[in-house]
This record gives sequence, C-alpha cells and structure tokens, in this order.
Amino acid sequence: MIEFEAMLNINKTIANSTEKQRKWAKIFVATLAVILAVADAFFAIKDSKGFPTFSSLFKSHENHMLWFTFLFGCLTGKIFYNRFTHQKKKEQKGIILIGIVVVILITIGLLLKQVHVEPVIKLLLFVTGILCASRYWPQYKNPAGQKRNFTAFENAD
Amino acid sequence: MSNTEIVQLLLVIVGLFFVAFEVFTNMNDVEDDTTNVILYQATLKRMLFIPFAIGAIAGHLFLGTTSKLFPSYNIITAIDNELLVIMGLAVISGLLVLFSKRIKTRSREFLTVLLLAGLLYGHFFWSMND
Repeated sequence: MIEFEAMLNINKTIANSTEKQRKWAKIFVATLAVILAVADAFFAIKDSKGFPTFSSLFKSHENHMLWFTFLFGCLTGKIFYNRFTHQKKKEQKGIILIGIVVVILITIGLLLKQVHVEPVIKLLLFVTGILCASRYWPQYKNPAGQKRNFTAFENAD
Repeated sequence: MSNTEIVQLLLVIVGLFFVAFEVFTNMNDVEDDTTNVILYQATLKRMLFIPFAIGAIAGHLFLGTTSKLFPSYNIITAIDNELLVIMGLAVISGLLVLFSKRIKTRSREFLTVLLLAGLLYGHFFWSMND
C-alpha cells in the first residue's frame, strides 16, 4: 500500500514537472512572437530613419528568401497537417530531406541575378513546403506515452 | 553597422533561438512541447486566429496583388492604409477568438479554409506589390 502511494506520488511529480515544462515552452513561443511583432512595429515607426521592416527586407531580398518561403510552408504543414510515427529514423530522414532542400534553395537564391521572384513560384514553394512537411517529415511519438490512437491521416507508419 | 544589417542580425538571433528551442524540445523527454504542437493545440482551444494570421502573413510576403485596391490617399485621414489593414487583421482575429466557443468544428478542412481566407486577405488587402 505504501509502495503504491509512493509510486502515485512519483507519477504526480513527473506529471507536474511535464506540465510546467510545457507551460515554459508556451511562454517561450509567445515571447518570440511578441518580440518579432514589437520589433516590426518599432521598425515601421523608425522607417524614416532607415530601419527596414521585416516585410520590406523580404521584398528587397526576394531571391535570397526562397528558402524561407519553403521553410515557412514546412512549418505551416507541421502545425496543421502534422503526422506521427513511432520510428525515430523516419523523423530524422524528414529533417535531412528538408535540410537538403533548404540548402539547395539558399544556393539557387544566391546564384539568381535578379531580385524579383514571381509570386506564383513563391506560392508553389510554400505549398510544396506544406506537402513535404506533411508527407515526409512525421513527428516521432514515444509509443509508451501515446494517449490516443492516431487517425488514418495522422498515422505515418 | 547599417540599419538594415541591425534588422537582419535581429532576425538571425531570433531564428537561432527558435532553432535551439526546437532542438531542445525535440531531444527532451517531455511530449507535445514543440512549437508546432503548442500552436496546433492553441488553435484547437480558442486561438482560431492562428491559421488565419499565418495565411495572411504568407499572402503578404509571398503573394500580393498588383492592382491597386486602396486609393492613394488615406481612407481614414489620421491612419495609414497599411495600418488600417493590420487593424482589420486584429479585428478579425479578435472576432475569431470571441466566437471560438460557438464554432464547434476544428476539422482540418475548416482550418484549411481559415488558412486560405488569411492567404486571400494577405494577397488582396496587405499587398506589397500595389
């Protein structure tokens, strides 16, 4: 009985610390978003003093930002069309694939002479990023910690 | 160091922090603490504006209509047209949060519609090409 209670207490402590870590992760993500928003607003106000906003920086370096277009698509895909796997290797392969595409796009961006890139190409890269992340970059989940069954869409195994 | 370089440096620093955070959250034992899971779970709860805002940012950065939708003068004299568009984005986001409890569905199709609506908003109203 005492052993059972001790185990219960240990489980509670682990659950509490996990919840705390998740809370800190949420605070970190929110802080980064706020920093970016406040900085952009500040640059917009100081525009006359030569501080470009993130948007104008993107506009003046469109060719160098092809990789970001693709990666932004990947992150969007990871948020809304994420799939899960029980094999760590599948996730690692996905990260390597995305990394290779990003390096290729950085190289293409640096080689391009003209700055302007047609919107349709950027849209294609964005959508390709979503599809690549959803199809080839599943998220590893420890089978022991799985609380519910994956849906047919979510299951990447 | 020029002002442009300062802005670039800030973006690089924030980007590095983000990458370090993602690596850390992927390596630790805690489940569901990566950015994508946090944002998805927040969307499922009340933050329905997240897909709309992401779509709007994508439309703003990657698309953008070339036809001029807004007149060259400020629609509201005291407020810049671009600021008006950003305020519109904030109002729509506020409405989505406000009605999030009444909107029962959180299906992928519905979130896709929100993402596309944001993309169109960014393309037509928040264009950098007009």
